[in-house]
Amino acid sequence: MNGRLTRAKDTLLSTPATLCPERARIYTRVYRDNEPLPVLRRRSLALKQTLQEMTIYIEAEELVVGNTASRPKAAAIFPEYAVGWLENELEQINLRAAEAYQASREVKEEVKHLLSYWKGKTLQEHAHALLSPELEELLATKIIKAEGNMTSGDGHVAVNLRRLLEEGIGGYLARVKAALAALKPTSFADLKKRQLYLAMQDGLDGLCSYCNRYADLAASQAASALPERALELTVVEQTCRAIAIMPPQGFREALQLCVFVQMALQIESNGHSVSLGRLDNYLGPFYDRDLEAGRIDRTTALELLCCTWIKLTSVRKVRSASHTRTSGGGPLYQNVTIGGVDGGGNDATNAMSFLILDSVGEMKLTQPNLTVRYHAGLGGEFMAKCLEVLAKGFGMPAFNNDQIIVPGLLRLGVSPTDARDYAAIGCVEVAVPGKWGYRTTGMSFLNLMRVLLVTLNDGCDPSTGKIFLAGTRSLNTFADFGALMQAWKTQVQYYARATVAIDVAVDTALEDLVPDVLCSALTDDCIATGKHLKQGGAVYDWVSGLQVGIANLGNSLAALKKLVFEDKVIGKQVLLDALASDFAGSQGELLRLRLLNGAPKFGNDDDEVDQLLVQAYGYFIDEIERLPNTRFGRGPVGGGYYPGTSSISSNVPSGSEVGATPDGRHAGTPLAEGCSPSSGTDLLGPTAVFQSVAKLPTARILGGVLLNQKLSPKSVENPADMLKLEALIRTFFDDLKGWHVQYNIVSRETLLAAQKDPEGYRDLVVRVAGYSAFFRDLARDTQDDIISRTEHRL
Amino acid sequence: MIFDVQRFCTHDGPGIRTVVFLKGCSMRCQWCSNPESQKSKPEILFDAGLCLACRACLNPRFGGAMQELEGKIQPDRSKPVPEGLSKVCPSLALRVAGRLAAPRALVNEVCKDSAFFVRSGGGVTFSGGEPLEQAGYVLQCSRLFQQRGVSVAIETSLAVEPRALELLLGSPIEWLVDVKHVVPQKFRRQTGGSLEQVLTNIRRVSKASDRVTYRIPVIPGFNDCASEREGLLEFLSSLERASGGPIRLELLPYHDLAAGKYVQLNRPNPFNRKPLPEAVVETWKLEAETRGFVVNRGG
Repeated sequence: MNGRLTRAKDTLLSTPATLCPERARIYTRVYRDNEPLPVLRRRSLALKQTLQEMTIYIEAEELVVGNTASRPKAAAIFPEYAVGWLENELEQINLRAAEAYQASREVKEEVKHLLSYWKGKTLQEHAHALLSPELEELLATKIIKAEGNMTSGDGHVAVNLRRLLEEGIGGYLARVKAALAALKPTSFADLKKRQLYLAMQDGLDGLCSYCNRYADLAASQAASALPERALELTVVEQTCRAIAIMPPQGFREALQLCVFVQMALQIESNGHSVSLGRLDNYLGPFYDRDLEAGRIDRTTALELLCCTWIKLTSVRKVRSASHTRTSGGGPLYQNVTIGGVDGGGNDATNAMSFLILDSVGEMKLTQPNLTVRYHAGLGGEFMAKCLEVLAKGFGMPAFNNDQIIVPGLLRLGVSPTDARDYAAIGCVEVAVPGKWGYRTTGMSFLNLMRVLLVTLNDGCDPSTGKIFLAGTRSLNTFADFGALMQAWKTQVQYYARATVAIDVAVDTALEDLVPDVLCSALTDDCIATGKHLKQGGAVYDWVSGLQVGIANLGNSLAALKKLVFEDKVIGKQVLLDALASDFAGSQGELLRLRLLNGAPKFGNDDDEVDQLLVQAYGYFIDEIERLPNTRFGRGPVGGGYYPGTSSISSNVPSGSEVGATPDGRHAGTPLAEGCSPSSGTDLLGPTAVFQSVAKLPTARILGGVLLNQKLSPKSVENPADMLKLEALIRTFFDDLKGWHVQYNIVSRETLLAAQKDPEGYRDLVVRVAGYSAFFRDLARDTQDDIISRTEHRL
Repeated sequence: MIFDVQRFCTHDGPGIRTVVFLKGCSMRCQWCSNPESQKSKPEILFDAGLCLACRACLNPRFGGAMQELEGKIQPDRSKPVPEGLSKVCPSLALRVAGRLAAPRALVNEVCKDSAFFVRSGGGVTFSGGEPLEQAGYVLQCSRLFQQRGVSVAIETSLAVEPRALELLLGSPIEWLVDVKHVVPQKFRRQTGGSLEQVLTNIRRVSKASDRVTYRIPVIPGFNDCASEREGLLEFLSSLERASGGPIRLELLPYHDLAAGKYVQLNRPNPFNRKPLPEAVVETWKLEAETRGFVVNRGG
């Protein structure tokens, strides 16, 4: 890291997160002044006005510019999504244990005042109004959680940056204008489209102004800067000016345009996991041309990328306290995907892939969330570089495997060229960037272990006493294990439908109140079809919720099958009583240990448990794949659901809401994370874990098969061990057709020391679950969960 | 009789390997890190700290292998270890080291990871205990492994009758051979073995096989001084070898991680010492490299 980057990183790390009322101020004003206009136009005008009016800044040594709020690490406020939680938490928001935000008395007062306009008008309230009493009651139990959808919106999307870099903002504006001109004033449908096109035009105009404003600011700063800096600022000015309308010519311009779009999208929408797609693929040609023409060198390009990662890390979104528990550490999951194959199936790795990898490894920040698309033809040199970065211990890159994901997408009906063009969105979940609707995964969580306890108790949720689907009988009355599985199937399929029923209400509310115009304009084929994303404007549209407690489900069923039904060493009522009392007393503890140690556990390559999990999760998958989303039949290919396990840090709060479970897990303790084994129960090392995970129907789980492994730093100290790690990963992907793996390479001692001395370890970045975060930003229980994960050694 | 099968081992021969630990060894090296490997019969490992006194192990069907004496539950090591005892303890305070594994079943278990072996150049490693004490079993298994394309390595102290070694010398095996000392009295005193027999076997395997890696456990107070080091390295240099390449040497510095196992076996730990300073191991490495050896650190 050179001096500029060291200083920038240091400043970023020492800057406190703050609240910025500007966006809320402008949005409130524009909405209020334009009440007769359709929602689309009010939103587009508010976006345009914000991009034209908000505070922009260029920090002392910056080379790449763009911001979402008035200061680095300031979070804009999105009152149109939800106000309730912010009203309740605003006073204490600077004192929160995790993700505190500083705000002055004046800021707090202004925010409070602004929120008052939105009461009764927000997405969250509208969504609740659309929910049936039964679903409301269900949400209240937290068996299903969908809060994030209502307070933060969709996110989980990547726009078509490749096309934008070809056509420029002006090219998009021209297409919108042409579409406008072709409308028939006598048509009802065209009247609706007209509003959309006008809105898209506003959004694109706003983006254009945003570019020009930075050019102006750079010019004015250059006028009073020392010569060396003045030169840098002049380059910034020229870069920003050049891309305001016209397509970028060189690497620097292309990168800057990507950053502007990334910022604007995150101003427009409160959703996170706004991802950049296959950035190496988009930027590679620009870099190659510049390099050949002598317009850039490797060092400069590397520095510009590093500056970009600082920019991405400076973006903040403020979340409710309960939301911060499911995504600990304030991540925005701005994914960058590199590697993979091209449209013809050949290795797509280029010089830019190496540069991105190097730059991310150099900065060791939490953003971007870097994913490498692995395939059998991925070169040895690139793989070695990936492992070298991985060995730095900040959890990146994560690997997704083309060899299972591309066939999975083809199976859905995605075209071969598009399937090979997929990218990770947010954490591990995938979509075809620029052609896919929102929320390829995320924001809605089903707690499978709550459903299992419901199954053992005749449909009654032991935590709340509520019954949603009665009549499936209780553990006491199951004649055999098959009867239990039948009851599980009935219950889990009911809850699968319930998650979709909630989604339908929330998606409708999202469509009614917070459609994104800029994001739609930049996603194919919204302009051509005259539909925004929520109306089905994308070429493809599948969504997935997240299922939490995968390993616990398998382990619990295996314990029930073996110890209760086969060996009969634990009585049915005895077990129910022990679960209800959280294994109280010495007899309870004995029973718990028998459940824990006396039955097979997922992650040890044991078919007894692995196949049970396949069957039990399969019932959920069968049902969810049958259900349509709100865009079904409205245009996109698909319009359905698939399962997903990239449940981020929700295993900790979800666990806190589940009583004791038949896998010997105490009430309130974390569930297993993602698709990973339950902590401390995978005893046979990483190959056995891989074998277990690969038995799941992973080609169907396009919402992500999240597998976290922890390696001792000693494991990667010498080159011979690195080769073994490479062989391990390649075998998992090439032979077992594994879906994904990510690594934490950090010692237990380091983590414990960081808990004691957070300031001394303020730059320690760890892998949480599908993303990396600063360790000190995590809640204590999530820190503990990471520490307790099984550590493997080479 | 085996006592463990460990997957994903990366320091017991090339590539990613599964190690099969065989039970029974004629030597009694004082620093032995697997004391449960020494006797050839099943043994109880008992961690009193984990015992919840549920008394499941006192069931008469276990023939008194576990007993309650003065209020304390503990093994009666004079009794045979019965079938089923290993699964009775809910808290895993009681574990049994030692089980019979039919060759075909063992091969199936190990071959679960064969994809990893193929890609990493790994395979199966027989360790112990002393695998050559069960040379017939190892040979039987090795043939099955070789039929399934899995390469076989053997970690051995070679403190066995020469005919046990002869039995396996015809097979394509990766040999990982311990070389502990070159002074007979000291060797006998601290390992209980016959150095002459061992050295003869080492010479035999070196001459017969071109796939030998020599492993020196560097043990404080046993073989870590300069003259002992020189003696060992000189012995290796002087070997007549089938392999034309440089001598492959692995250094295994002493560690004290086995202390808990001695307690669980209710045996005195004969050798509770501090690990070696890093500088000592570095000197070994440098000296060996000066002689043209290819040196790795293992263990």
